[in-house]
Amino acid sequence: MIKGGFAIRHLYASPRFSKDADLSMASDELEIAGIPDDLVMPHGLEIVQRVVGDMAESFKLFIEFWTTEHQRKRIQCDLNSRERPIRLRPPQRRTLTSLFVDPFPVWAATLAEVVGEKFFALIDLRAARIKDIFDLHHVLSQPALQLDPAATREVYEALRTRKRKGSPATGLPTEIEQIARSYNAEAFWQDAVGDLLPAPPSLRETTDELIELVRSRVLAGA
Amino acid sequence: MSASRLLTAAELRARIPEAYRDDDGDLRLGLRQRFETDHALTRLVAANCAAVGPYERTSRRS
Repeated sequence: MIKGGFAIRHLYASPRFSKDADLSMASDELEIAGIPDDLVMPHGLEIVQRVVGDMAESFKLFIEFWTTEHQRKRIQCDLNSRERPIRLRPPQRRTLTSLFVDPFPVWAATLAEVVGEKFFALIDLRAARIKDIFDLHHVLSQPALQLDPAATREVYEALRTRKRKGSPATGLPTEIEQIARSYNAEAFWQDAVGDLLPAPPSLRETTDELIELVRSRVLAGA
Repeated sequence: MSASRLLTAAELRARIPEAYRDDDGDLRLGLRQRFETDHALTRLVAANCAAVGPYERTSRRS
């Protein structure tokens, strides 16, 4: 099942390239004792390191490949096998689109879960997750995407309660504003989106628009 | 085409969206590694995460 920035790029057509891939490898009923040993490595990709996280709930794979400029490049793949206490809806079958392959079906987290997790990641890790302002703005500014505001808030609140961090969902506009104004936010923003478009969006304008979108699309009815 | 097939440099170049090109038609500076990483990640997901059957079965397979 895919989620996170990788899902936003490939299911919701974000122009931002995700630097890693968030893959959740388990259903609510399944426990995985380690990194699956039957992962298929396409030609040219090689696992160079496997790291087991706390409580053996999460794993990181470091995978290397040769670029067309004959440089060795390492990417990180997060595998999460935790039982998902915040999963509110079953995963959805979606179509992954990419510049490189024909569309194919994947299991994906619901949009509410992707967005709720993004909000919490931003609040939790502050400016280091400034890219989430771009991703959240990209998703919320598409009226055609059906986002369940109550489910989104429920995911965010579940994560906030579990980690005992951050303010209630109604405080999101204030938190986002503080993060966008924080030290080195602009540097993180340039690193995340500065190269993407001929005229990259400004952090200030994107933040202002996101805050309005949060009020209208996430806090509606709160 | 196999979803996880490795594309050649020429094939990759042909798939560069217009918005990502410089005046010479190449990837703009700073995008090349992200572009190729996106290619690698997509191939990895295509090889392992294509949805077949019910979700639980896919999860165990993955």
